[in-house]
Amino acid sequence: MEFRLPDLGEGLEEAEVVEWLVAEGAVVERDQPLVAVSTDKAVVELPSPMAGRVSRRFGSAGERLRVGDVVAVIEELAAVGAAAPAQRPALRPRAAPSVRRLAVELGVDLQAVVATGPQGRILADDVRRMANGGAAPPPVSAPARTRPAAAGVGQAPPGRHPLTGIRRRTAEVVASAWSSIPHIANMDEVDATALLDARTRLQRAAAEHAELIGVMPLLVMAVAHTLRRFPLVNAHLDAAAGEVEVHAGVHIGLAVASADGLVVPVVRDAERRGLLDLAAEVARLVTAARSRGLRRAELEGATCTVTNYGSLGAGRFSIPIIRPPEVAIIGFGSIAPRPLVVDGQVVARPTLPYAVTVDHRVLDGDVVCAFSAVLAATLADPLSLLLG
Amino acid sequence: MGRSVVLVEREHLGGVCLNAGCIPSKALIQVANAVAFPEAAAAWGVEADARADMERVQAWMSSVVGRLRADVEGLVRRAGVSVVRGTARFSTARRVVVATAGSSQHIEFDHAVVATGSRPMTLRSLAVDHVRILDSTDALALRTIPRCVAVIGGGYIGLELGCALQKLGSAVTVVEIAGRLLPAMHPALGGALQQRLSARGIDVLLETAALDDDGTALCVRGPAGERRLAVDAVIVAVGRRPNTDDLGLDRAGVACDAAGRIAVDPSRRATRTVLAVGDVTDGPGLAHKATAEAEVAAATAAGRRAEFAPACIPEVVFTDPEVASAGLTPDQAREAGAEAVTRRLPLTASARALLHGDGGGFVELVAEPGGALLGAHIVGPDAAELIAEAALAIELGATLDDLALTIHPHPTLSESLALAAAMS
Repeated sequence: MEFRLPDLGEGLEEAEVVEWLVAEGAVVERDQPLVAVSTDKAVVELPSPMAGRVSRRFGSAGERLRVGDVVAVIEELAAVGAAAPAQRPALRPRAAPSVRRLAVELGVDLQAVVATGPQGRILADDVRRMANGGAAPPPVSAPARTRPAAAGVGQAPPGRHPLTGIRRRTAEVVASAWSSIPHIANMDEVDATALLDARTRLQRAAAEHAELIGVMPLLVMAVAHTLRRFPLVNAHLDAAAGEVEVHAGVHIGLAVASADGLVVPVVRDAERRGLLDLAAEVARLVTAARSRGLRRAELEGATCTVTNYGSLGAGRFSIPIIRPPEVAIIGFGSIAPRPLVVDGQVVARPTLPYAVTVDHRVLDGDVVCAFSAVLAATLADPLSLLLG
Repeated sequence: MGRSVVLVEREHLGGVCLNAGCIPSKALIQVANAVAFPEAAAAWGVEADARADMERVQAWMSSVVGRLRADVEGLVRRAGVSVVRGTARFSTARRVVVATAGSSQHIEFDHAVVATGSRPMTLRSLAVDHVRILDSTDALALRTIPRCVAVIGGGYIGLELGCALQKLGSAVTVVEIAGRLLPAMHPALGGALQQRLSARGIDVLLETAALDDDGTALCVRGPAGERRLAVDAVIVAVGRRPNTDDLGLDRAGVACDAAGRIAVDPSRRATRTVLAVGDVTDGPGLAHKATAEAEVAAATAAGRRAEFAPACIPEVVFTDPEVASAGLTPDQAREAGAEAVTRRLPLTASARALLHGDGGGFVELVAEPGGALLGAHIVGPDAAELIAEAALAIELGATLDDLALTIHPHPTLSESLALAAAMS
């Protein structure tokens, strides 16, 4: 067969041959790297799509290839074991055979599916939702995920409407923040497979609290964990005094869209809470925020804010605005299957987009990058949270 | 699925299961149970006498097999499959040559599915002569019941044949090289079964190898040294070997492992054009496993996405008592990383099992600590029928609580699954 330069994602049309990794005439296994090519973004090793003999190579080092160009000709020969050992049933996602078949037909990885069935079971609708690109799947009874009627969002009759209450306060705060704070932001996305898996396992391990254990508590925990490593991000700027106040405790503000507008209740001492405690507190605050049930004290004292616009059903890239006197805000987009390069191959994986915005008066790009790297590593491998 | 299909068969449609496996063996076991019934019923105060006329038994078995074979032929015909009688060999990755009496023909294909099954394995020291040294196929066609039989192999085939022949009047000795019966299954199953077989008068020799046969006696060597078993027949039931050695697989680019099995991916592909299902591939040599794999292979060949990835494949042994398993043993669960909990209910707790006889069997359930069922293992009456419920529970991810809270009818054997699940 002719092996053509595959679509490398991100709109890249060309790649340059860096190095051939196999000789002409070589026998290769399926998935064995054939050739390294460089795009504008990275050097990628292209794996062989099949086992066989490489009878022709096209393009020598430095030559540019366009997507769809023939890179090599590979001839099928004696089968090189394609067998994968049968997976043991233990520790697989819990899903009925009909649901598992649906997942195979739709090309959905069950490990990445968010389960809404009883005791963490994956339902057919969960698989379909994943296949349609949506990840977050609100079980109706979960208070943490119940949203105000989306139908009301952005609606108003023609005419002039005064800005009142929360709307007015928000307008003042963001205008002041936007005009006084030099925002710099870093946006990226992280493979959320392990995160979703951790969520599912935790739901299974604590079946009676499964409804509480969504992705959100894990995100808050990861942010708190990262803030502890970067005290200067967990700080307030007193611009008038020309001082930065670094806080001992991590108190995380949660941006909640309520019917009245943006409300930001605070999870106190987030870095000291266990996951169940944190999950219960997040759920309580979100519910209270939506039912105007928050006390004033619960809205004050945040040292950093998390905004999960992904929970609103969409969102990939954004620059959240910092809430002064805080010096940073962390935003999360929606988890959905997206192309990702894993081991040199473009595969569909659930990814979690995130954005870290900081006040450039206090923090420079190096902190943003280091903070993002730790946060991303924590999200990619939530087990590391156990290290404390 | 809209594909044009040619089926090449060198012998009879229906495969090993229908012609020389499950079906005839279950027929023989049913006959044996009928013959043994008066003895069991005597304990209940019933007097009766039963005797098998093996000529008529064989005629009946043939008629059952013939009827089922005709049914299969009808199914194949109605599905629009053309049947070619002959022996197929691959000549390339896209073509087979089918040899029929005196001629041959080429068949070009987009996809070929290898489903050639298996044949009884033989022992070098004991050549099967089909007269005194028999394979399992011979044993199913016996027209006289030998007085004394040695069965070599304590797996399910040997034990099913041994049990049936014992009920039909043979004195039976089972010779097994491993340290327990049913060595491939949960260890407790073979132990419980052995107790019951010994109580019935079947001799079980473990860690014992068959050496040779001099025409009147079988020489074996076990922990106590060498020993001669004076027997009228020796049944060799030491496993089955895939029929993959004479298919020209190398010319199609298909490789086999040392045991002759074809390696396939979850979609049942060995190569891009050749798929394989059933006894020629890894896993237990069971008809229901082959059927499920064949569904996947057909979908794959039709260009659909499909994978064979069941949570469990039930295994059943039609001995007396029956033995059945689905899913993981406690050891397998631990190997797979699950901290397994087990619940074992002795069947003496079941009124219905007591009516069947003296109990002695058990139901053991293996579950994750959170309760999701991972495995079920049963020794007892009708275990083969009971295991399907456990298989469904495993596939659906049911918990011990789900099983316990499902109302089971009383008094039935199936209650014992719920009772075991409710144990703490």
